[in-house]
Amino acid sequence: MQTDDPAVAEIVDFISGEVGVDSSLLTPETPVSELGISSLDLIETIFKLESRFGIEIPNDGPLSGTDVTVGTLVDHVAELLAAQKAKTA
Amino acid sequence: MPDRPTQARPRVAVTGLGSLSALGNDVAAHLKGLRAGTVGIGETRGVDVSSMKTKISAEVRDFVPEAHFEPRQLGLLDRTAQFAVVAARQALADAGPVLEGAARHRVGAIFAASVGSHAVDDSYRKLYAEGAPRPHPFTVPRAMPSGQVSHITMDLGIHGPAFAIASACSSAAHAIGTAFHMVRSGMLDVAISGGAESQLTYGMLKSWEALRVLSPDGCRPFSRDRAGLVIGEGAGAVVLENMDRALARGATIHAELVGFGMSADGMDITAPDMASAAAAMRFALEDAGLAPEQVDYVSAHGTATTLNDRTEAGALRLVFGDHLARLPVSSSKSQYGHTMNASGALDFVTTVLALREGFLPPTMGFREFDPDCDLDCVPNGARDAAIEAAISSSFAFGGLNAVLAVKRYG
Repeated sequence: MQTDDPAVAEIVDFISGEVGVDSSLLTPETPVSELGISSLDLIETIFKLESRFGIEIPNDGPLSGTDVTVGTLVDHVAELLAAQKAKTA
Repeated sequence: MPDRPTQARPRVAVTGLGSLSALGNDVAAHLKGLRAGTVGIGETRGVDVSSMKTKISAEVRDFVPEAHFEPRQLGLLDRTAQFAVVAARQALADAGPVLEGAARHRVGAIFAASVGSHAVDDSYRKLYAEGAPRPHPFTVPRAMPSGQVSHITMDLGIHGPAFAIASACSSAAHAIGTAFHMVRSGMLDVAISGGAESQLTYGMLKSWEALRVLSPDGCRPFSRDRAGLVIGEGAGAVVLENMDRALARGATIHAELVGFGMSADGMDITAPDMASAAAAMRFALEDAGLAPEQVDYVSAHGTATTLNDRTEAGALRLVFGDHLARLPVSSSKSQYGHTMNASGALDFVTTVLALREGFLPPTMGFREFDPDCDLDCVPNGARDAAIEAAISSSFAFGGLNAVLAVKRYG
């Protein structure tokens, strides 16, 4: 999770705003469940990330488990975003 | 069988069964499919799933509405209500002349409340997507969640207490449990109960897909590689009857309904709670006067989501302890999908058939042992077994739990 990457910073800020957790707490190894994000909150957050960034996050990707970390979430969104940019470039 | 004094509390006989499921359109076909390990899950035919990731479901096949209803009736009947009425008719026919001589106000109908999803989907599509000036004029009566039970009362001539109960996937189990209470309390002589559901519409399938709980490739309860649930459709119906009355008229008694346990997690709208699920099972056993060691079979909720199956296995461990090593627990959703508001009724019919016929319905699709689900889930094939007592569990979204306990009669 390259926090100095502006794209990553934007994702982190968006998640921070959506779940109401200060972005300083969103460290890569922190399980999202420890931030009070239930599996249901995560599904809604994924939906909002899809809408905000115009990407589709697949069901069977790395976010399908029950032990998702902030790093897994942010990196996966960043990868999908980069892939989409490469496609449209 | 030790008899409780009947004057103290009436006993409750199951004297009629009805079902439609992906295994077939009557109880005989359902039973045959259960025993044979048939998997009724396949590519969805009734909905255009080309834009969906999930292409599979457990559909009721070869159901011809015109074979059951007049064209004039069909305008008022959602597919869900059609299933409900047909299953209720089957149960009543199976029970024989159960309504003969019954006082009008002592026969009731208590069913699961299910939205008429097809009515909503069809009408809203016309309105929003096709620019129609107005939806079908019967959208409201077709969509209303009490529609099925209203149609059952009209079709079968029932004039006593009748209403619909909503508790998501526990609705039909709560309905049967409530009907059981009403017969056991002496309020009713006969109750027709159960549930029906068809959520196989474009809008509902997309909505379930958005919730990220659907399996793309089959239903594998308790298997380590389980990938979620498969939506099914269908209906289950039962006739519950005062035992003395059933015996007096020489009815065939499929089983005795002996216990009903309920609980609410009070925690989360989707994630289940182990202690609360265990409490519902314990309450059902206590109500039935059954020790955990007396239970020979559990029809599990077993949706094949990661969380449900793990939580349910833990709850079973809390209730049954060491007995769990000898207790078969299976999920028939692996055969006929998750029929949502109908599932408590279909699973109950399945449980009664297992008990009556002496076999354990299988958990199909099982591939890999999961240490979190350390159960004998009757993997991949039915087995013969004498069952004296069994429970059927429903643990719904929103933490609403209902468990029914049945015993062999005679």
